[in-house]
Formats: sequence, structure tokens, C-alpha cells
Amino acid sequence: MGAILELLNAFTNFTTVLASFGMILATSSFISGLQMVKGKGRIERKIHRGNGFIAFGIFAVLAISSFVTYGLSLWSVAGWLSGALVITVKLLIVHSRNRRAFKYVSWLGATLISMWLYLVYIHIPL
Amino acid sequence: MSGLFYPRMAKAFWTTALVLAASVLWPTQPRAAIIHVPEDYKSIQQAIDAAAPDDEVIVNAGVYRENILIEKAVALKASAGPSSTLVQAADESKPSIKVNKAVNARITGFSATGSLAAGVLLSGASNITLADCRFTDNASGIVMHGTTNSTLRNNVSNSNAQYGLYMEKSHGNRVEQNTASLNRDKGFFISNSNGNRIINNSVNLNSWDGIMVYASTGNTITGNKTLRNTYGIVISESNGNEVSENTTIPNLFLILPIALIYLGVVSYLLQKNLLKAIYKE
Repeated sequence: MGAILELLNAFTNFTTVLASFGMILATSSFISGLQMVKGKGRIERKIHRGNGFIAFGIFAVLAISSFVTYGLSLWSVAGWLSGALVITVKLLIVHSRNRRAFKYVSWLGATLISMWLYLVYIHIPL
Repeated sequence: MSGLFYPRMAKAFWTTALVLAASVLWPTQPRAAIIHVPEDYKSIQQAIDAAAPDDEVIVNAGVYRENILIEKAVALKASAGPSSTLVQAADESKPSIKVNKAVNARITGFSATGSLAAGVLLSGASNITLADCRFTDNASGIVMHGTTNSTLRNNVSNSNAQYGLYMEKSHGNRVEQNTASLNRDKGFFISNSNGNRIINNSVNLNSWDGIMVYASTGNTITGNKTLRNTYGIVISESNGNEVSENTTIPNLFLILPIALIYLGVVSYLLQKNLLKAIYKE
């Protein structure tokens, strides 16, 4: 009961809600991406793209919110840029349609999931 | 009956007379005065200099550019609280507030900032109460040196260049319900200090250690939250310290990501079935 209350209390913070929503979408996108690698059809592609793009939008909103709240610092800019770089590289590889590059996409997907886990972690209110 | 009555009357008479004489002749205790800043004195330091021991100095809201020195048992109180009563160090090289070798002084409700030494320095003092204050953007927020049996309660010491609280050769103090976050070195640094009680503090997001205890014995560190520091609690070259019931990784840090991944899987299945129904694949 205490754990559930603690969990609910965390969602009183807007950025926590946003980061959590991003994590859910990133997970859905990751699973559908893995299904696409297996050769599944257009439904998987729609889920993958839809969830992925909304998650990217949430990433951008969280980055802007962080800069507005805490200001610009070297580490925060470097951190957010690294996240954006991972997303961009993933998109470039997918769009290149290069078979040799495709084998790295699932690794990049896993990196994106790790990134979202970190984003959730840093947005849990203390 | 009457034989008993007269000695009793005489005793009552002499008792009353003695009490009356004592109340007239005995020197009465002077009552503590209350001094107001800026009504009675323009600066806080002038008010403290004019105060007698046990007097109370009440400071109204405002920004006071000075370095306050307290060397006697005065109670210094900001009537409007730390959000609107700020002591800005006039000389950056000195602490904004310094309590030097005083006993039984009290400081409540101030903000102190802009010192390259400390927000508040308690030096060689004892039985000091520091409560409901806020120390930000100093070299260190609170510095205690050779200070004993004092209480630090409900203070906030954030965003300082080094430590939220630095305690050196200070013994038997009570540090409770304080917050030390976003300091660029350690939250609390307890060095060569014994028998202190560090209870129910929040020491989070500091660049290095949350709480560091060095070369100290017999301290009690309990019920503190030390989250997202590089190291939570570090005990070095010390023994006989009691460390219990502190939180370094709360359950939420594990529960929330697991719950979100689970919701992600559920969300994927829901979307898949919904889209299947729409496109009839």
C-alpha cells in the first residue's frame, strides 16, 4: 500500500508524468521495432513510427523544460545532445535501408530504452 | 484551642512580612528587551551591539548588506522568514553571519548568501540554535568549527560551491530536518567531530558525497535521505558511528521503471489489437 501511494505521489510532478509517458511509448516502439526486424507487417510499422515520433517530441519538450528550469550547463547540454544524437543515428540508419547497417538498429533501440530509463530516473521527484 | 491559634497567627504574620520584605528588597531580574531592525537600529549589527545578553533582535523583511558578528547570547529572528530577509555578505571574504564563542544564541528565519567563506560560521560556540534559515551560493552554507551542544534544525543549504554543512572539531550537536542539495562538493562533511546526531535530513543531488564522516566517532546518522549523490554516505577512518535507517535508493527507483515497461508492453498489445481491428489485417 505504501509503495502504491509512493508511486502515485511521484505523478504529481508534470515532468515525471511526461518522462513516464515517453518511457511507455519508447517500450511500445521498441517491441514493434523488434517485430519489424522479424518481418511483420504495416501495423507494426505504424506502431513503431507513431510511438517513436511522439516519444521524440516528449524528449524535446523535456530537454527544453530542463534548460528553462536549470539553465544551460556543459553537462546538461552534452547529455541532451547525446540523446538527440542516438535518436538521429537510429533514424538515419533506418532511412538508409542499408542491410549491413540494419543489424545495429536493435542495439540502438536498446540504447534508446536505456536512455528513457535514465530520463525517468532523473525525473523522479525527491 | 486558643493556645494553638496564637502561635499559628504569629507564624503567618512573620511569613507574610518576610515575603513582602523580600519582594521589596530583593533585586528583580531585568526583563529581556526586544529590539527592532530597522525601526530601532538601521543595521542588524548595530542592534546586536546594543543588545544585552538574552535580548531579542527582530529583523523586518529586506536585504541587509553586512557581515553579522554575534558574540553574546542574543536571539536574532527574521520576522518575515528567509524568503524575504536576506543577509548579503558586504565583505565577501568573511562569513555573512558569524557566531564567535557565544553561548545560548539563537538565529532563526534568515537567508544568507554571497560569502566566499560561509553563509553562517559557528566558531567556538555552544548551545546555539540555528533554525529555519536558508544558505545559498556561498563557499559553504553552514560551517561549524569547535562548536558544541548546538542544534541545527530545518535549515536549507543548497547550491554552495563546496559543502552544505562542514563540521570540524564539533561535538554533541544535533542536526535534524535540514536540506543540503545541489552543493558542488559534499552535502554534509563531518570531520574530527564526535557524538553528533544527524537525523532526518535530506541530502540529495550533491556533486560528490551526500554525507561524509571522516575521523569521527560516536555519531548517530539515522533517518536521512541521500539520493542521487555520487556516493550516498561515506564513513572514512572512523569507528563507533551508528548508521541506520537511511535511504540511498528508495523503492520507487525500482518500482517505477518496472511498472512503466510493463505498461509499455500492455500499450503495444492494445495498439496492435486496435489497429488490427481497424485495418482487418
